[in-house]
Amino acid sequence: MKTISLNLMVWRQNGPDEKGFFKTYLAENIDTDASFLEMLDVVNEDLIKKGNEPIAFAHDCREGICGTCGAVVNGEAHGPRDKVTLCQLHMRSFADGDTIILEPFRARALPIIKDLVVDRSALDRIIQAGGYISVRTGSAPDANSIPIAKKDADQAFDAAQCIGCAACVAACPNASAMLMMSAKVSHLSSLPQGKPESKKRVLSMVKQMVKEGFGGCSNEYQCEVACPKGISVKYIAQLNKDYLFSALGSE
Amino acid sequence: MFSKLSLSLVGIKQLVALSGLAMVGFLIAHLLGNFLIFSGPVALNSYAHKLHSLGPILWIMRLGLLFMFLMHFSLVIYLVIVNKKAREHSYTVPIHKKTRSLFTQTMRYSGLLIFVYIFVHLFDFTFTPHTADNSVIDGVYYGLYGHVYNYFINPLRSVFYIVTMFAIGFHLIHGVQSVLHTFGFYHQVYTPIIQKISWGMGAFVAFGFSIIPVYVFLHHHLGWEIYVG
Repeated sequence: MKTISLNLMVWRQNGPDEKGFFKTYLAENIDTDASFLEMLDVVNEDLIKKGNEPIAFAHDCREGICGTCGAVVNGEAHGPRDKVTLCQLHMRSFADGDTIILEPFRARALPIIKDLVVDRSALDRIIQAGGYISVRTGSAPDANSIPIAKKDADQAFDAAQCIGCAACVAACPNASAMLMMSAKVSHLSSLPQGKPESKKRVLSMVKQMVKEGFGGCSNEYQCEVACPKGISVKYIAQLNKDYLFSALGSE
Repeated sequence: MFSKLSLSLVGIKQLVALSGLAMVGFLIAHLLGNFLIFSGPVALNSYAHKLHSLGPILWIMRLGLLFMFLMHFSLVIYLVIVNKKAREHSYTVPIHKKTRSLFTQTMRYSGLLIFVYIFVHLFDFTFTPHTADNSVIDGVYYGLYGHVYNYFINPLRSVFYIVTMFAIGFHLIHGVQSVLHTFGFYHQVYTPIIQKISWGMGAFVAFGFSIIPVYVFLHHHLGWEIYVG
């Protein structure tokens, strides 16, 4: 088992309205096969043993599919490796003696709850504003009763990979939620079930995003770099197009 | 319709893109006109004369351009304020510094320089008439041609001019491709080509305008004859 030691500079903030600060910790004897969150667990065990407050961070599945974890590691959302979430980042990506600066995702619309935990309910409210389809409830409809071209199904599935982790917001110079929102808009409007509400959807989701205090897109494409699911900025173009036609055609 | 389009960030960005595109069109027409300097004073001056004789059409074009300029600038100011407000607390380590394009990052600075330069340019050429003081070369009055010629004999002005023209080039390298993305155009094959065209347009404008002071400098110092045709 190969182990490394690291210097951690972690953002500590006791509550939403408290003043935050950086605190330095030494992470010793970290297994290189451990995940980033397991490394934080080791540091926290030590803090608890010494009677200190552990570092608060959000996590759930720890297998890169739920979108709960996330922090900015040395200026990169979810850390230095492409297309992984923080829980799937392994300590072999770091060298012995490295300094790691750990910050929460920063955006006005994603207020810090504690340390590295941010409140992402603004993203939920964007989804609630239009990221759904209206169907009658009851028994499940017959499979394949609506023909969908393979190409469209593939595109919808590709866009639907978004896990709503907010790395796009964290990486955007304007703290914009355009990539996450565009993934949902494109996912639903690629499918016949999503078409009837597509005009209303894009307008009300964009409206909600502005209301929540996210910034706008300046085509820097940093979201695409940060996205653990590799969502393409082509969906932002799709959203722009849908928005233009919806706004021009609205009453 | 308009209120919905203009109230949201996406709609505003589309208006910024539209006005930017209109100004790019103007810039290319302006550059092609400027190239007439290589054909001598008669060609350049008669082109300027024809433009001025358009009368009301010229004024409609000028007002349209002024409107586009004001729209572009004021909406960008608004967007910059909103975007700044969206992240109140900035990161300690700058985000993704490696993958951000230089041209994209410097948009607001290149834009600001262009903004200042437009006023300098209007003052120097549009509002300053061609006189015996500023438009005479070797004792002969050459109108606009002489005005431009004498202006660029001063190397300080020429350097400032060239720096500004490269700022415009930088602005276009991001701007042109950004316009298409903002209007929703994305294509696996065409988008990379558009990015190259964007580069080409930026370079064409930067080098195209910059070649004029260089030409005047060489013309003056190598003692070339003025082609009167």
